Amino acid sequence: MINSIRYRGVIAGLAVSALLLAACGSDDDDGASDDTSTDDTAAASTDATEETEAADSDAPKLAIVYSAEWFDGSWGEAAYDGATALEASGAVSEISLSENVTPGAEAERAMRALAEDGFNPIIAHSFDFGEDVKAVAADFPDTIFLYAGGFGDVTDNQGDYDQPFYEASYLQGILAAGATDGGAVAGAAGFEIPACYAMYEAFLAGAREIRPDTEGSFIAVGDWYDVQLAKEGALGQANDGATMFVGCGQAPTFGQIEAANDEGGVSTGYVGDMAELGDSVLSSFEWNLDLVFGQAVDDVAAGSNEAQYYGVGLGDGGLEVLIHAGEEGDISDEALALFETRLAEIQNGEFEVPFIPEA
Amino acid sequence: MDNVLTLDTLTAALRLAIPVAVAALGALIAERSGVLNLGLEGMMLSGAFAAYSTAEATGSPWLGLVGGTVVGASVGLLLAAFVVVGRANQIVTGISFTLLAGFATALLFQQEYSIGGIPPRIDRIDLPALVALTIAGFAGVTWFLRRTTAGLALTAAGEAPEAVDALGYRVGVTRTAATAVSGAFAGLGGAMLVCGPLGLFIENVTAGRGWVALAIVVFAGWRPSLVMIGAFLFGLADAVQLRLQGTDTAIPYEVFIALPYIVTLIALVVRARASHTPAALGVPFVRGAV
Repeated sequence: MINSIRYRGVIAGLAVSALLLAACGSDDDDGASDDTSTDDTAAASTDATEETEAADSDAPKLAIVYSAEWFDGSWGEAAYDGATALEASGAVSEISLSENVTPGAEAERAMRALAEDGFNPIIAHSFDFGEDVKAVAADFPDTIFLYAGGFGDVTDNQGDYDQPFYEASYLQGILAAGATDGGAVAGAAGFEIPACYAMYEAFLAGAREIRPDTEGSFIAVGDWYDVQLAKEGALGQANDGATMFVGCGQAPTFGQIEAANDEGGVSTGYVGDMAELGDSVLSSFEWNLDLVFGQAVDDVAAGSNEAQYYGVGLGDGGLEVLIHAGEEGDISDEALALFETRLAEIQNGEFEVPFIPEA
Repeated sequence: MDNVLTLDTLTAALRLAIPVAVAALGALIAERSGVLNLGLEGMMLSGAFAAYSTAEATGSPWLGLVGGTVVGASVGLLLAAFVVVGRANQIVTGISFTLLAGFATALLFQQEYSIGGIPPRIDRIDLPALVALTIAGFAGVTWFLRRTTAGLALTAAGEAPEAVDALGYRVGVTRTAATAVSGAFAGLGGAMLVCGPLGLFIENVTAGRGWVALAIVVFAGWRPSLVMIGAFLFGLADAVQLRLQGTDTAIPYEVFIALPYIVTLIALVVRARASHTPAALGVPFVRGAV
């Protein structure tokens, strides 16, 4: 039928223009590359080159790809800030930042294009990029590729970087117990991965320094982004007597904070200052990824193509615990003193926070 | 275990079930008319974002629900333009809508709120009001489908569109209206999530609830009463599994996470024999083609 063919033409036209609009819309959003097509990555790189012409052209060019958005107030933003700090310091001559890169074929394509453009090191800032990084690294042996494995997954030019959040979590556990009169610890993550589970165990151990009989429970929500499910899990823990909440990952952390805001108790920020999320947020920690990424950049600058398990712990400034203004008065003097003591001991190497990666 | 079977678990189940139940009613209306609305998840998400923006701008979560419903209906109408009027493939078009809604809401949200600060909270609607609204929606859909001529014509459009056409009803109009109403319910479901238990919006806040709603409609055999029961069972399974994880047990947590899906799968298998799939579901109607 002529009719239906005409309709199909109209629909195809509409669909194409919708796609074009979506693609162009993200292009001029801000300096960071929003899209992941190779064209876009190339465009972003050109921009960065123009901006930093004065910088040392021999310094490495750093690229980071990420599966969600940079400005998430947490994990993504830490990487964004780390890369821009390295650029500002002149350690890298150019940066390329690609967000919303779906793990799989799209991520592989993006990383290949970056490697061909001379970016080195290339950092895939999510656990989910593991397979993609391994596939691409084999084809570009002189480029260092990293992904956020967090368990020392290193082969030749493919490396990994540590997420020693448990060290900060231990100190936050001390503070939380010092700000509550009793009650249990509630931990949550999207899934029970080592970096997250270790955070919960360290938090519990820290709380037990103040109240040795403190109990705890840990929930794997089953999703990193389902904030309602995460909150319901935390509410269940609150009903069961939890007063100290610690989450790992965006939605699990939001869920724990929301539950504490509603039901009382203290909650904990995860990667980034989360004080604004509610009065219940007693402390947060920041992750100084410029130091971590800087290690890989230094290796590249030294001419190495051997990747390592990079990482900078709390003792060396890789992590920083923030106690939120207005809440500090609620923390007992005993807990604050112990916090300072343990922080100093971690910094000078006298105290090592227990690392318990699984139940 | 003593924290598992409590009133708190039941209210948690209701909070988890309501957005899914309302969206599933929307999926049911479209499917009964013969349109498979795979854009449901996207309409929920669009509704959730519209509700958040409206509530934030006006200070009223109830206006948020209105905003979510209107935007959901608009997206539904747009989908109908493609799949009913244009007879585009319902599966591909629906999934494209969901993908596009995900990116569009993320982009709008990022432009409005994420630079330089945390998105503000909005006032929340209490659970009893949400329950009442859900029951009203259920009663309205049941009454409409069973007791009104338009409702019977809608079901007939999904079973035997040629017969409906021969009787003088316009299949295209019926299906377009059904898809728009489907979008309205989905948008309302997303709005009830954001303006109800959460009071905030984050990227992809609906997290697959629209897909769950579509599965529940199959489980329910396209009947509103069973849709409500199915949604509640799903919410209950989630509420219970989250609490079971907090207890001391040797069972791996993955089993608990899978529990709601296992329940759905068993229900689908058990109910497969009693399937009442609309005969013309997913089939575009071409007048005079038979």
